[in-house]
Amino acid sequence: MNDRNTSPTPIPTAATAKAIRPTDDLLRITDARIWYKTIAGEAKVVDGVDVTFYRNEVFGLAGESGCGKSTLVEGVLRLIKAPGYIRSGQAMFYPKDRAHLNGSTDGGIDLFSIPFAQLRPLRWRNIAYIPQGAMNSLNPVMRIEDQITDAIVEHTKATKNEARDKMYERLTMVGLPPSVARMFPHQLSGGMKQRVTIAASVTLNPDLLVADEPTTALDVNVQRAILQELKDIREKLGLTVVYVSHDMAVHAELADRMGIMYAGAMMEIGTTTQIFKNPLHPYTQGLIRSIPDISKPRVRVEGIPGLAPSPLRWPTGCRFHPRCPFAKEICRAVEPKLMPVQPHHVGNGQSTQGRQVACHIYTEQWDQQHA
Amino acid sequence: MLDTTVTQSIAAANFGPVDDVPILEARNVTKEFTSGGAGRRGRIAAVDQVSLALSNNPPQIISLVGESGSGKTTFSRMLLGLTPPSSGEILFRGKSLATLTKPEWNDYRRQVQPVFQDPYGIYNPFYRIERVLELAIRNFKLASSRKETYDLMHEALEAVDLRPNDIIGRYPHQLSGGERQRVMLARLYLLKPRVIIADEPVSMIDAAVRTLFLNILIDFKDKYGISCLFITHNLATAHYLGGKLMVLCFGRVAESGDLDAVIHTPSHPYTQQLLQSVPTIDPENRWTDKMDLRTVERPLTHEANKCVFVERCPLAFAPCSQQRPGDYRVRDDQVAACFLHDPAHMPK
Amino acid sequence: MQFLINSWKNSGKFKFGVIVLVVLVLIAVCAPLIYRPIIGDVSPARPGVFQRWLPASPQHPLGTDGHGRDTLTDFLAGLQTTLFIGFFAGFLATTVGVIVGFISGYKGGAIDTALITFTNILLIIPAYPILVGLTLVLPNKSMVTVALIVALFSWPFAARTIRAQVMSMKEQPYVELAKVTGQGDLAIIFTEIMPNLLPYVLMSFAFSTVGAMVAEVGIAVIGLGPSDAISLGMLINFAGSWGAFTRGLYLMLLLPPAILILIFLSLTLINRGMEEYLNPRLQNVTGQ
Repeated sequence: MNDRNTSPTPIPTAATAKAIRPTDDLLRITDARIWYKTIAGEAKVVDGVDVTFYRNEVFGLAGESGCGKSTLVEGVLRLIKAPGYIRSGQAMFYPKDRAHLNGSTDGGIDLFSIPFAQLRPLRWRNIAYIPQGAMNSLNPVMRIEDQITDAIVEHTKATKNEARDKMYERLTMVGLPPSVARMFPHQLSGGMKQRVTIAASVTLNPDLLVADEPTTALDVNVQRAILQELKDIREKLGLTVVYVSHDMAVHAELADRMGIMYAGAMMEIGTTTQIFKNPLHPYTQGLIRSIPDISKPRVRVEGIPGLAPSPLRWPTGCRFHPRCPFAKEICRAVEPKLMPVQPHHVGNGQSTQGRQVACHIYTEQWDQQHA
Repeated sequence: MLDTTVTQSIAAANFGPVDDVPILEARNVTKEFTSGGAGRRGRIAAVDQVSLALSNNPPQIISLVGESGSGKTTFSRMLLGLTPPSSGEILFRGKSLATLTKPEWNDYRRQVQPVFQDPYGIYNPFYRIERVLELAIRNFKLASSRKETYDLMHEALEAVDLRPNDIIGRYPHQLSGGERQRVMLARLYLLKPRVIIADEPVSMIDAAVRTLFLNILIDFKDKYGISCLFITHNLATAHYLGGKLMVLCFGRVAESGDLDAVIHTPSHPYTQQLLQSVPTIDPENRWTDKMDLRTVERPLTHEANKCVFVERCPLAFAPCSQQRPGDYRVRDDQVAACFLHDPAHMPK
Repeated sequence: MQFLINSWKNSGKFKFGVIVLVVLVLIAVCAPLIYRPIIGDVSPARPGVFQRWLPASPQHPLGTDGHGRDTLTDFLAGLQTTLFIGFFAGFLATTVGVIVGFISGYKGGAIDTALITFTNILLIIPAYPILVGLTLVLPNKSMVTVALIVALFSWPFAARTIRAQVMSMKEQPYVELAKVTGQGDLAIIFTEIMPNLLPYVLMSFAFSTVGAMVAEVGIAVIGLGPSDAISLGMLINFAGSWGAFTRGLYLMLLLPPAILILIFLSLTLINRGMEEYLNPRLQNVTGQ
């Protein structure tokens, strides 16, 4: 294969990024349940998810369509509209910058339950969001600079000039020339619009940036550029990026840690290297097998047999059991909990820190009965 | 100006048939659009003198790779007879589409079938999903009784790994994207055309279902002798399919040839750039530097006197902005439209 | 059909609108049963059958009006006439509008330009003065004539809506798929495009009906209503000329507008309900 790198100027790699160790919890989600009331019953789109995002990391939220990953982050951002509703759970958020928040202590803020009035100051200053198709939500009749500076002035006490300076700084940070500021959205290509959206969203140094499939509609070249901008931003600003995508290859390039969701629940959590080199959950194994790898010889892959289940009627017990090659009786009956992994299941002296999996294979009963 | 006979023979030599006329062929096809609007005038060539020959004997898979704006969708629509070329011709069994008689046109419609990108838009939301199968059976007289129709539909759905009872009777919006695309494949199973023109069929479905879909395409070729023109922007999926590869850049063919050869030794700078942007599946071997993306908007007018890629090309040199490159043979089964491989410009 | 059933299930507005409308139509249909016993065989519009301004009594549950007609009959006949004119004109307007809009949208090109320009002109020119002029000029002002005149200015809206929908539908991938499956043009029009147009046709019908009734009231209040029937608009006109406000004849004054409002409300709610249903259906319920 060709040399994959082009210019001689390197930026910090994944290896050096690890030195910026993810420290404490930024957002801890426990038992999140977000359901939708439909004519046919309750669609349990997010059904008991536990996950923690640390400061200063890139977390890849993976899983196929319908697994609930987009709904989960929409829930955290309180963007769920009827007939959807947050049924239960907590999303404890620990932002650094609290000067503008009224009446909050050093403790966490439960994003699922705080009143809307308290949400607004958090939005954009502490939490930024790039939804799917964000580049198409730029106001077509306003110049880029106006859109961004207006937003800055509205959310902070900055003057117009200060806002303008900040905006230029951010545009340069994502590699866009200052001339972009005076343009209208339709004059920019898809990739440039997306970079504008990213620049705008991190203008106020949020603690958390959530991006939902930001590169799906873009060409590979542009995708590469955008992924690199995100890495860059994370290094320069020290924020946490939660990147939602079904594209495992993108996570391999970008994420420090990953969470794999299926049928509304979290199946496996670990560092990206752990997940790719040693996937534990049978679903994860199936997903990784299905990634076409251009650098390896061609081999036929059978994918994951069966059909994705409906949120109106998740399977009993383990949600994946109807499609799992290793399923046994217990899998049909009991839903496995997301639990830390024992060292002997990974072997080779690999670290198990932070590694969690929701699968009966990795429990003691399994070892006793089936090993 | 390009010597058209050279292009034709190269195209034919690359993907050409073993012993008979290629079933579907594009000869020097160009499609121009006039573009108006603020500040932009002139004619843009969405597809600019592209030639392609698809054979059915033996059946083959050709992947057409290009980014948005490369003209790949326009090209596929011309091959499907949905829009006429501005110049050049599309040939079915050696006869130009414009001159087909009614029975020949019916044959063409039967033997050349599409798979579209958007798994939702291809179904009329008013009807249940099995209607696409029923229409195909009815219009092409594949069954002669209700029972036969029923059996045939079941067989087709099972052939693409779907459970008929879960599918028949449902409306399109009740099924997932992957299921909808597979029902399209069930329709193709019924029709068994000679050629499938698939325009980005898997970009809107998930990874695991993608593999299933691609496997079915490969099976169609091996079991039923169906050739496929697979259009995509994703080199990794093209790689999975194997066969031949054609890389389109701004409406022109940058490089073409055997897929493995092109991917292992890309000869055109654009192909090299595309390959560099394919993510590796190895978290320990990531991109370590930034790509120099000169984000230039697409060339505005049909300029015949320079290479379409010159503004973005890191290896551009003198002749690139003076004339159009021809097609130069790089090795036995690989052709690149780049002056770097022009014998006249090779360093002595 | 499925569409209507689902609209019913999904939208409270739709349910309410349909119920109110059905009740009103039932009343209008049964009206003769109620007023025939009172007025005998004469036309309900005929003045001078009874004494004027009689108070309420068993023979005249609401008394009589200033022209010697039974008041209850006035209201019932008024409802009948207005509903008839509305639906008839609405039906005409929708039919013409759909045909014009469809040809315009499907054919495109010069035909489309010609038709849409004509449609737009009709939309721009002030309808009311022309309506009044036409009504003055025509000698015979039967219900049907009035309905025809009113329909004249109601069809452009339907035409525009249908045209827009057809233009977007003919570009849909499923139409192209039908083409490559060997469906001819006519089959595509009737089996691919038309069924999806039904909701819009229904909406245009509801809208045109309301428009027609408004137009009718507009010409009736100035005394140019149908000469062989009573309409609600005419009743409003009469109430004015009888000085109902000063005389304290509140029923006469308020009931015709109230019924009109009910009709408009029910039709508009039906419209909105259908529209609401159309949108959520396009979204996948699993929250994608």
